[in-house]
Amino acid sequence: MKKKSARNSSKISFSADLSDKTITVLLLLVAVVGIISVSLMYIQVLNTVSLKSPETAKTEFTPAETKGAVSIVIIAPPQKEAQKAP
Amino acid sequence: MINISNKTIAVLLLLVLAITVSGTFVSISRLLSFQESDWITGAAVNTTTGTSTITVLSITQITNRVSNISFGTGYVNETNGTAVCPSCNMDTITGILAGNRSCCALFNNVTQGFLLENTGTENMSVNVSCSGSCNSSNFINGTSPLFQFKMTNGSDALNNSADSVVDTSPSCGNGWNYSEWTNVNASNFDLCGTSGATLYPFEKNSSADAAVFDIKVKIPPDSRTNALQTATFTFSGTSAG
Repeated sequence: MKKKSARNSSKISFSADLSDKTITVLLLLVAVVGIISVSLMYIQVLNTVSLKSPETAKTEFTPAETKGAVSIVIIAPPQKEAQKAP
Repeated sequence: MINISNKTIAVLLLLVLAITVSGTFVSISRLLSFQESDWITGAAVNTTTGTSTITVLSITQITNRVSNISFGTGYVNETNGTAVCPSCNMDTITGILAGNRSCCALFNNVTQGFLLENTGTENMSVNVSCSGSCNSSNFINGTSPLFQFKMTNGSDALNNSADSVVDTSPSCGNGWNYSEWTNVNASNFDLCGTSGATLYPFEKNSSADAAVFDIKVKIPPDSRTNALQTATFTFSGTSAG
């Protein structure tokens, strides 16, 4: 009887559901491994494509232009014109 | 609603864990064996000499907010006598000079010089050249005429209203050259930049990006042009790009 009872209890414990604590631990483990995985990839990519030689000073020269005009007409005074006329 | 047991969740989590770990190893092994011809286009091929470039759009632009100075058609009023009217004197700062107004008959009273504004995104140097009637004997003629120009900071100029944002600080780092009246001629004048210590000192900041190129004329009584005389000024700005 005792043997049968022990077999039964071991069956019960095997088929029993896992505790919330165990799931939480597993979840944290997955999260930690995930973060490590992403961080490693990030570091590797940064290392590979990192900028070793910054761009040197530009040597191009860009011109721009604008115009302005000054104008004048100077005529003879009217009285002078009148004097000239016979 | 189906109830998922913790056991099922645990199995799923272990599966995710296995996939993540194996994915990490695959990624690391691929990244370690990274080659020039591999899958990241544009990556540096040699970590000791790799170069990355970036192009930032910039604009070098100078704008003249007052493109035309027209003194119009007029004459020196000789009826006042040469003692009273030895000449007609006008400049674009004060217009026809006080006490001289009756001598400058019919001329436009111009009080706006060329307002130059750095409307680009770069500091620049500025110079000016002239074409057309570029000296006093061609533009005015007669006995002892004057045809002059002068540069003034937008922040100091009285006639700066054409500036998009009126300046509060000087616009040329080393100060504008030709800040006193200077005879116009066909030469190339360096207005701001090359004669100073800094190569591109004309500021781009809206509170310090303008200057006024004023014009002064002295017309003697014996001056006659009869035809329209025009002097065209070309202002050139140069930046480091």
